[in-house]
Amino acid sequence: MSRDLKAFLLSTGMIALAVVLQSTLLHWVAIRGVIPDLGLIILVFVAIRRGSMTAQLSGFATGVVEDFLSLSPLGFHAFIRTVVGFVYGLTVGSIFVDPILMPVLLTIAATLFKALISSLLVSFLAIPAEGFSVFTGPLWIEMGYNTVLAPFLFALLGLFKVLKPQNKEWM
Amino acid sequence: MPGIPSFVRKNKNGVTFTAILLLCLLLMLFSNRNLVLQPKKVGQSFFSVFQLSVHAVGNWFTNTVTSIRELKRLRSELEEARDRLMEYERVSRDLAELRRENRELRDQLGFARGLPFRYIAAQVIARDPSNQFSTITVNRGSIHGMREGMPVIAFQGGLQGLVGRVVLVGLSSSMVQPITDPNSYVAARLQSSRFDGLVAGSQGGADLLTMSYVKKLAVNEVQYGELVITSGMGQLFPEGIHIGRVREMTAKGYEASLELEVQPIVDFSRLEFVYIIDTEKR
Repeated sequence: MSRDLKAFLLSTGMIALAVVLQSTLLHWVAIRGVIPDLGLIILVFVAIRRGSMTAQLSGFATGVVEDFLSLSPLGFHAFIRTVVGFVYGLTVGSIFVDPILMPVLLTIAATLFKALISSLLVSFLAIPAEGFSVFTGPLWIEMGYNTVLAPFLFALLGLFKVLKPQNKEWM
Repeated sequence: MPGIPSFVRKNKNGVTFTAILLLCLLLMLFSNRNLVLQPKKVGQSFFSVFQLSVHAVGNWFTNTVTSIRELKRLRSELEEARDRLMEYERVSRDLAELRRENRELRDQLGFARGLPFRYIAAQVIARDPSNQFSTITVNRGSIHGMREGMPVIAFQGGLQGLVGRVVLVGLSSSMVQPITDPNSYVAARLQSSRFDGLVAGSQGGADLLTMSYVKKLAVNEVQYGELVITSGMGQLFPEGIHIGRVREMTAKGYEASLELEVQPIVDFSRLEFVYIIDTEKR
């Protein structure tokens, strides 16, 4: 099994596990009903380490899982995670990731980017969900939660050898 | 056309990205809450197995850790319960008398008795993995007799409160759309003043409801804290289930109706057990 395939399978498995945790155990630590998006943090890490191809495929696969477990239309989360994975993957090899500052900044930007895409989808496709009102309290709580967790998750994910920076052929 | 394969090879990344996005858009266009495609049902059934497993493991740990603390608490509660039992025995005697009186009055007035529906008890096993939607997943599915559209209620604070309705039924689990969802609408009535309206979930993530289309002449009769119940119109929800209490009232000069802010009876963050009403079996 090639290293790229291993990276894809590992990242997809981890994000899928994060999504299941988000729908079950993480609701015990929700702040005003808002939970962190662990899947997004893992996706950002995978994208800046392994590039667009691995990240967009993992993002799509786990987005579909999230759609199955949510009231969202099939393809909603898949679309968002594919775009985030692809865009962040374009920065592969060009960002020096220190232990704290970069994980925090990358996660803040990813949370805002996710909110923007989701609001655009809600508006353009008339999806029955929170639209631009997502730019209110819940978004900031989620961003705070993600920001606090990002350095820890980045440190943990850095231990996986298979997620070390990619070779060029699968970019 | 020899150019296409080489173009695809050169732009593998971009081509994959575009193909996935098109697939996502197609899926979204053909899938919504009212017309959920079969793959969504199959996927929900499959992945909810993982939710069930994680929920069970989490429960086991919680139960073990809290059991010791529980024992101490239970002892003191036992003493309290004994005292309460004495009180309840007295209340029970009064209640029997009130029931008899109530039955007689009902018979005299010729009112039909409330229809006792069959309930399916269920446990909340998961919620929505994202913060933009508000799904509740319960551990009962089609094999337990669940059907789409069934109303869901819960008992909290001594009152029976409306939770929502079943929107997607898997094999052994189902998804419930709570009444706080912005896309949920319930035909409602103010219990004391008897004005009708429409209760909807409110935007912004707060667990509050908005009751609109209430006649403006109700402004002097509606009281803060008044109970809002289902009216039974639309036939989605049976009549008389508690929805919430009036918290705020807005009467805009240019509008012909009132808008009421309603605090739900059910605290959705503490929701553990729910009852699904089978309106077809009485």
